[in-house]
Amino acid sequence: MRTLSIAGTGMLAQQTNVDVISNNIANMNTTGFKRQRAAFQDLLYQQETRPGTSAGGADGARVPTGIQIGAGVRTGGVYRITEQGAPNQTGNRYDLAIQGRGYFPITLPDGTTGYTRDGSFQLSDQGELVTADGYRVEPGITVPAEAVDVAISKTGEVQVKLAGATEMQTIGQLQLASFVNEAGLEAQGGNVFTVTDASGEPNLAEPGQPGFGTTMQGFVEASNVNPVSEITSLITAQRAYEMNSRVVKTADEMLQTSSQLR
Amino acid sequence: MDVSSYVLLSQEQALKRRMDVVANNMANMSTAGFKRERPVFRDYVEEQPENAVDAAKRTAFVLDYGAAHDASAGAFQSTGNPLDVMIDGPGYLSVEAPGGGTAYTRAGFVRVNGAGELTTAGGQRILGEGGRPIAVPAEGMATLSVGKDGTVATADGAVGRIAVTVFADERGVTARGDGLMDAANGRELTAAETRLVTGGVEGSNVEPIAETTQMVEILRAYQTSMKLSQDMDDMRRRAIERLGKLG
Repeated sequence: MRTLSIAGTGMLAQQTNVDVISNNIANMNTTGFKRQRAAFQDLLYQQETRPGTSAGGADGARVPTGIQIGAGVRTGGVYRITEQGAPNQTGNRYDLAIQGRGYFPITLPDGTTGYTRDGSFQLSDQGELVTADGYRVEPGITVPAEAVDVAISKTGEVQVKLAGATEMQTIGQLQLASFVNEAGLEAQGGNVFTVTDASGEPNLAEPGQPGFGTTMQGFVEASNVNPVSEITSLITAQRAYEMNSRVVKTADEMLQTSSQLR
Repeated sequence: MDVSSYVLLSQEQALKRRMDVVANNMANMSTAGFKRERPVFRDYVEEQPENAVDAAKRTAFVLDYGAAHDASAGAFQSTGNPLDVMIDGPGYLSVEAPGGGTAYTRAGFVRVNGAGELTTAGGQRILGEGGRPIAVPAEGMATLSVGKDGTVATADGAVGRIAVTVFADERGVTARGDGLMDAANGRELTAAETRLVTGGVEGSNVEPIAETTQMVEILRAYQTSMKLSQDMDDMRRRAIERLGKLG
């Protein structure tokens, strides 16, 4: 009887589903977080009788459907939904939200480049624009100590007003990276992604170019997790888990009936 | 010959098979594009000798005949990915099968691979009209959209059309696992016939309540069948005891 193991795969799949949902809910307030979703696929089928084999009659009739028994379910993939999150006003002038496609390139501690949509930036002790974790935003932008005001335009142009000056002065230009397959980026934790073969190489351009988003100063991008839909998915997953455990119980009762037979 | 226990045995085997199918349906309750299966049984009447009593001539065993797909549509499940599609009506998306050839699926998770081609969640390339993969130029990625008739377009114009294939005989469509199906002699729908719903996928058409009631039914039938075999056994034992006394 395969029922026990088939129902087992069902319970495992729902467990993965709950894991993914709980991670989404846990990151409900994570800046720039993109919610994930588990996609399931049916497992291989055992062919007891192939469809199209002869039914044995003299008239050459064929078995139309065959006997196929599925072996259950498996997780086909967990993919990220790169829907735009709502902009959250923070009032911090170094906070940047990307409206549209693109990631901020940042320098990771090991010297490689990482990508993030978490634009809650700060200044380092050197006056450099860095992420909340202290990673430098590429290309490096240094705000002079005597700057009294900083303005970052929609197109990523960084301007400062120096003490005593009357006009704004451009000190740098932010860039965004876009990928052919955003979903192929590898999440490193800490809101940082790195390039993989699946994502393709980054295309760098200034914000506002065709195919790239624009930057919004004083905002950060909220998580795109929708708590209501996550909770309903959680309920569905829990019930599905229960149903599968019910299958296990029924199979167990059937086996028990057999084993009590004299 | 007393065949009653064999008749019951064939029934128990069939019930176990039904249980396996129910378990597989339940396990795939959350599998996009999954079609629930129904086992099909038939009776097998053994030829009886001429002198058999009338009742014995009607002895029928249960035989496994096949498992049929229930092709009814599943409910639309919104995913938030504007590229995901659900086929409204019959038909399948054609994809490149892992071992070569064409496979079919109703799980409309549409993604873009590193080369800019549309693929399914499993990474198989989706085939457009005429069996060609659909490639999207890198600069069009931001404005990529899928239309109701399957047209894949960017701001610069159409780059291909997702083909939907229908089969005259739905029974010839067999599952091969991983959400893929094998089938032959399909007909590609024209743009005017194609109806896709974007922004979500087709959920599984398994109805948990129907499956649960089936399960209860199977369990009770199995217990009854077991009880009958036991009664039959008791009957035989009593007969032997009694006949032994007579001797």
